[in-house]
Amino acid sequence: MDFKRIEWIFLIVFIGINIFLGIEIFQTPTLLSPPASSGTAADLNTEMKADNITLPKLSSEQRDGYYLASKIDDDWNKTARTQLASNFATSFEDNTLNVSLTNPVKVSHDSKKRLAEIKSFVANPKNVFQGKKYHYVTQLSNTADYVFDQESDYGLTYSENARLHIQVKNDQIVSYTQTYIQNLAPVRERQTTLSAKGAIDALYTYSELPNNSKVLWTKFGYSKLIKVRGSIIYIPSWTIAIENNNTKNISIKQVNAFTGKIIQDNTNETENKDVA
Amino acid sequence: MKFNEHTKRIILRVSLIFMVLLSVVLTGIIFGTDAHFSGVEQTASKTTDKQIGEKSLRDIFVPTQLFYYRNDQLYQVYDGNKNLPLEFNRLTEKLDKRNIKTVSQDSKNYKKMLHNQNYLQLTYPDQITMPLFITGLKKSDSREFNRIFVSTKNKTNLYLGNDANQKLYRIKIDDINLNKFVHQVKHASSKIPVSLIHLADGYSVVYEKPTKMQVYNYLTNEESSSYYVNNLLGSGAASQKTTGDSTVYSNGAYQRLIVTNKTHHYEFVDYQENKIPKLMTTRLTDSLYYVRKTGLSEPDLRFFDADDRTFIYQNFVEEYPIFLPGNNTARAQVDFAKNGMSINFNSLDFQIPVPTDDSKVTVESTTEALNELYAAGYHKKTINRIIIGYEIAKETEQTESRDLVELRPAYYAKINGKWRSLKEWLNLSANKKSKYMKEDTNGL
Repeated sequence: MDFKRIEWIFLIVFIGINIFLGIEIFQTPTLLSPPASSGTAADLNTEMKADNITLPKLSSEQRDGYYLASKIDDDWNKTARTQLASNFATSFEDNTLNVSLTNPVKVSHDSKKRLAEIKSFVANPKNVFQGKKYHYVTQLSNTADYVFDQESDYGLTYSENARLHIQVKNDQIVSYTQTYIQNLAPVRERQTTLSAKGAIDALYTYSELPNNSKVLWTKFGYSKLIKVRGSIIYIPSWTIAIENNNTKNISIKQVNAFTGKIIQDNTNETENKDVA
Repeated sequence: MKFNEHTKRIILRVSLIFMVLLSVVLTGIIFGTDAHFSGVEQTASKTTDKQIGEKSLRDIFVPTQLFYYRNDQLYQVYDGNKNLPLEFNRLTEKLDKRNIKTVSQDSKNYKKMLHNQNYLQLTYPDQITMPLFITGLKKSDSREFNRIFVSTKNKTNLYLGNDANQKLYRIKIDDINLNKFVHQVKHASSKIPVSLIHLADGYSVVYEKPTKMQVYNYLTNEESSSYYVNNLLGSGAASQKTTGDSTVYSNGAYQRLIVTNKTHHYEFVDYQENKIPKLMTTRLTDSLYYVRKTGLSEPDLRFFDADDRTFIYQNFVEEYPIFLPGNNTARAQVDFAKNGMSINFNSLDFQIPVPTDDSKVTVESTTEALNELYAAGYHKKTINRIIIGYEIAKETEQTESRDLVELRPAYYAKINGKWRSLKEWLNLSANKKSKYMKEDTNGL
């Protein structure tokens, strides 16, 4: 009888021990599994999801680009004005050519047809100086203002210094403003840049992507970095449009595609401002 | 009743035996996993965590110079618009696991290959290991190379050569089309006639005649010391002590960052990182991991030089490294040692290239430069390498935070493991010089 009791006691003790060991093992697996994230990129994605940031499909393919420079020079406006149709009223101010059409050009009411007509208007050298170099930018345009960006030998620009705004009123092209970069040349060799995905990650890392927002589009192009010694330096950049889910406000941010740093507001054209 | 009693006993005994066995098994698992756990922890801090960022290894470990033969003359070829080494890097990006065949270990064959006019050559600043060029290879593959031979005719094979031991390797590349690349090289915008000379570390480029070279201008930038303190010591309060020109930040007894205020020079030491990685590939990638940890800006940063435990990364302007003034000429240098790992780096960032008024300067021939070294008493056997690099020539104050610097070409030589400009080598005091005249026995 005594032996049986001892057996019972042992059984209970061992059940206790096993329960204890079981708990120990149950707790350790979290420590045991090797770090789940094999890449910080994956972490950023989940973090962004948790912050309720919606992203479009983004390419993670690296691109390439140059540091480009152009001498500050407004010679082009003289050539432009001699080439344009004689019935255009032109003025030049702030490196911007303002053109108003004394005889406005009629365009279709249908949006598709209208765009095609505006494009062919732009392509005619009598209408727009070097118009063939300008490419339509959907993201920046609306029904009254059709925006085109200049294409350089090294790729598209994304800059107020190389842009065409076609103003349309009552189905008529009434005027336009044009900026143009001439003699753009590389100052250094071709280099790899961030991918669209890399630019978004950089934006998020620098806390420039607010919670509860949606990335509408990303665009790769040359933007002004700094003015130095009579030249303007342009760098490849990612321009990113972000919509706030609550207020529906859209904000535009730019990332230096070489360094991943945020390009500060470009409107303030002081010579020595801190740049990315 | 009796039968029931008997069954109960059997059940009791069986469950007791089962419980004893189960406890043995569970204890075994816990002991086993404990060992496993500590292993995981180690690898986690050693390798798994060492993220290298979006820029791939191949953007840092990149060939920097390109050569090809035309009418019996070797030319150094350059085309900034296309950046041919970058183009080659892209084309060979998909090179994965493949058989690397050793085709020769003979110096005569190697010489023949160097002078084979049917091959163009791409060179790395120093030897790298195979896994850094071909993905999917085992890290333990420690075969090294620094020269790639691309055939201009039969394009199914690529030869990799190691100047140091004169070994030649061959890999099949029938899935990569290099026709366009070869065409671009032949039509590149700039060609400088050169030849090769064998020095202690392998072949150096010889500019046989005085050569005109570009002057470059840069706007420089500098991150504050708090940026580096934060990156290396964390955001926790690091203790700080200033003596004279330098400030020492430390995080406990194991990590220390010394900032020399005037020279932009930083030295970071981590005494906890006291294990020298065994594999060369790991040392190369780990050194880059530490350099990236500092937060130095990277667009022009390239792998430059590796000795057994010392790894140097430099900023490059086009095909040439930029040397910084003073004693620490490297942008970043990682040293692995048994008593801790250290990084010496410089916060001066050549940030924005600025157009130059197309000025060029003439650099003397390499033969002349070498003769000056010989005349000063340096022996050919002690000269590891001689190259053209860029140095800061002029500094014009623009603003408080940003200077405009001019970079001019100059000869730099590595003698007995130490990099200095030709000028500095020639002006070294006799006492110091003698140290570098004898062959080094430490195997540098």
